[in-house]
Amino acid sequence: MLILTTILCLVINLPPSPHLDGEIYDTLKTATVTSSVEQSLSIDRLASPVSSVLLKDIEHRGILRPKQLSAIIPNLYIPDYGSAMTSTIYVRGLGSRIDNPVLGLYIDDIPIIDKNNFDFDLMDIRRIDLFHGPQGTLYGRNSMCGVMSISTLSPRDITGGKVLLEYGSANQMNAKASYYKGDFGISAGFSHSDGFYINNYDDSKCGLFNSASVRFRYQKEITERLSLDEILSASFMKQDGYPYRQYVNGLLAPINYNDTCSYRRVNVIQGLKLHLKTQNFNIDYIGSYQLLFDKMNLDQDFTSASMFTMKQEQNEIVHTGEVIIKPSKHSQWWDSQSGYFTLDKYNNMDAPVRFKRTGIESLILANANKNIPSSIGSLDISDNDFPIASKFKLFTMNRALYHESYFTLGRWLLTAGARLDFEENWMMFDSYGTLHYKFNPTMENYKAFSTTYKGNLKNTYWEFLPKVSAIFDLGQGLEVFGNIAEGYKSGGYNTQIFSDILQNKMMTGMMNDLGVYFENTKNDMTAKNTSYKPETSINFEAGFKYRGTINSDHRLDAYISTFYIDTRNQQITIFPPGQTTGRMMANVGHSRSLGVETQLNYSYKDLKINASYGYTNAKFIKYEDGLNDYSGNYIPYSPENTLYLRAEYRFAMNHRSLRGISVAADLNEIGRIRWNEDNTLSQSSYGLLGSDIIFDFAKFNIFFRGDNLTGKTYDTFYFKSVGNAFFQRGKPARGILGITFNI
Amino acid sequence: MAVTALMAGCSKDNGNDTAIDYYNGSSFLGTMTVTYQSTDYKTDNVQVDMSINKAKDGSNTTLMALVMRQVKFVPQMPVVIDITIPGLTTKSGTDGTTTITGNNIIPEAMGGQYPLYKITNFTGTLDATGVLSYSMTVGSYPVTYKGNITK
Repeated sequence: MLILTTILCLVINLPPSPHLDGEIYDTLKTATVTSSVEQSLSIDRLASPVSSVLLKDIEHRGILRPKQLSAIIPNLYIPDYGSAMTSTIYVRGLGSRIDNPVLGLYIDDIPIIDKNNFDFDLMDIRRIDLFHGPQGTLYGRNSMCGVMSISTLSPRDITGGKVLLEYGSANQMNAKASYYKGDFGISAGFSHSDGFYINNYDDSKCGLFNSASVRFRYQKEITERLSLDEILSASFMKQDGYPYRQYVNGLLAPINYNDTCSYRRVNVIQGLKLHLKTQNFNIDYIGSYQLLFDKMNLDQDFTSASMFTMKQEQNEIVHTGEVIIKPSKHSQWWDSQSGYFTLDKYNNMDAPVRFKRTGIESLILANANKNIPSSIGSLDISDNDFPIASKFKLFTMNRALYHESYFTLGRWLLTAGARLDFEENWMMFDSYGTLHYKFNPTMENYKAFSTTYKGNLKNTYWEFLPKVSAIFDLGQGLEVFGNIAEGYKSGGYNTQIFSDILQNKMMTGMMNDLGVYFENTKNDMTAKNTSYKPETSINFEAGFKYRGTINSDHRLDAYISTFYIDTRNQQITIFPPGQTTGRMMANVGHSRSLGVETQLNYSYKDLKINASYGYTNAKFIKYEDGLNDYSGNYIPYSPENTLYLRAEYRFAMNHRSLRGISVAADLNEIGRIRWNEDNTLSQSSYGLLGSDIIFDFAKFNIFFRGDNLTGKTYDTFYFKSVGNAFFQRGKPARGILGITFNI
Repeated sequence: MAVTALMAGCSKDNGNDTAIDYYNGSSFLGTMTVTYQSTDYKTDNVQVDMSINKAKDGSNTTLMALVMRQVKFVPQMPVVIDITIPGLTTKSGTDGTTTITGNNIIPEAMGGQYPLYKITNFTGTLDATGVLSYSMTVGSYPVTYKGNITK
């Protein structure tokens, strides 16, 4: 409070607010251009729904991380669990917990390639557009269910500076500052939270979080024809996370694990955008280098027992490049754009699993000895712990060519496009481990035994992604649209399962070394089983859009859309064959997802209402993992309904310094979420009530915001590890007090 | 070739036979029969590896060891094991047949001596055509084996 009071005193003599373009700042989508250079058409001419969240929405709603967009955008659910690394995104019933996402993320037109970078502090966001439905033609891989395009403030939008300071529950602190002048912009931020969870094992704070980030932007008109936009951002974050609670006999036990669970990430993203106008074409080049250095520590069993831990350290470099060509002169009835995209990603990963004494006894020795008659003897391992090293070099190369044509025929706008993607995934693996064993009663002394498993794999595939769409202007702001489009999610490798493979090989090798052979080992995993193919989908969609002003004061922007998605080679996390402790991704599903979504933004004078609703019915048509048949069951983890309601009223004040007070309340309802493939566990629908009040002074704003005000209890994640079930509870009631001012 | 070697060189007995040395490292493939609770259980393609070593007591005695690969003596056993029968003595006959005997031998399995499967009444022959046949009692299970040389 003292800090805020001091700041208030300091800002009394600050200059007026920096100028912000009205379109940017308005809650309604009055801007006609999107945040994405790939989109030639304006939002109201796109034959698919677009949900936009603008600067004012972001500031008033206190959106600091993409996870907070859940339900605000219909049928979007980004559960807040684990750590910043686990940014699982579910859209329209589809999603995946590991590796490739179903939603593409672009920041200032730069594709963010690694999902580990998806959870970050939003800094000076100008607008967020979510293009619903497959965007494969323009955006390619991993845009199967849509693209989230984020654009940040630039020196072209704003002159001056902005500061945000917040303090709230769990010692949450956010400090952000930015300054824009001439061709330059810089912003920096720091966040801290003690987290909302306590690990009973040692009474430590489980969820402690620190992050810092900085962002530079430089925009320059080099010549009349050539302009440049250079973006450089870097961030560091460190957190203790994974507050998972064991589920025993229908009850949740307290968080209680003995080994470190943490995540640390450093990333650097450099992007260069060039725009060249020639006599006949507008040419855009967007290139980026993305560096990711992260490290995760996990107590894999999440119990107080010393079973096994995992560390995963990645050093990754990504290069992307894209050239987009649009004719600068075109006929009234035909326009087009074409593009070429390249991606090269190299990841050097070290992911050792360390078995500790209880794990050695319960996971390794118990497994081995259960197959050995006690009359023969039993196996023993002397090590108190031993590591299984797993090192990987992963390379991904993607090349794509695409084209879209736009035909304007009276009140019709027809779009036809296609993209040809080529992708190659290559992996070199090297797993090894050494332990000391003896067989009782035949061996007197322990003997060292080493196992190595190394090799490489390569997968290549082509994807052809066509799209047709139509939009018809019914007049007076009302449009009807429809589209059919294909999308795909890339394939990859289950690196996390290699420790299981090596563990099995060690077991088998050790027994063979003894001259003992198990008779049923033909189902054991090999490296070949670790690769999975791309998941593809075709989306059929139709709906209405409306944007207009009624009686000059009533402004309404709304859409309603229905969709049907057929997904093949669905990537599903399964229990692999053989005696393994982990889970892996496999193409075992064929599913369909149908639903409806609607969004409405309404304003009347000082009243603003936002409403979003999404319904999804996503089921497996076929599910073949060789063990179970879940055909007809709901796809787990994705909510059936999302609902968001927000009403905001601004009381204008005729005071010299206090210009107004805005009061808002919102409801974020999500559910039902099935937790497992057999649909026996689920989270029923839950509503989180929020509220905020903003005192709008001439030179600064003071706000108070509360979330989950009724203290609703709900779960955000469920999983099983070594036969135990775990849940993560959602965050409790919390509040935050803050100030924003301009310099 | 093995037969020729055996025919040409059989001149000594009581473990001092140099011709049997030729079989050091040989493998045989054949059928093992275990009698368990009065029922015979046959296993085909059982590999037996033969090695010939000098006795460790310095007596210049030649001893044979047989390693039976991936066998089980109780049908219900979920694992198969390698079992080594060491210390067998050999005696060559004039017809090219070597007699193999042993009694009260503690075999080696699972990394060391395995008294549960103590070998008693081992008697067998290796004939001039490379056919190895023997019978023994492993623990309490009567076992016979007959196989042909493969290398």
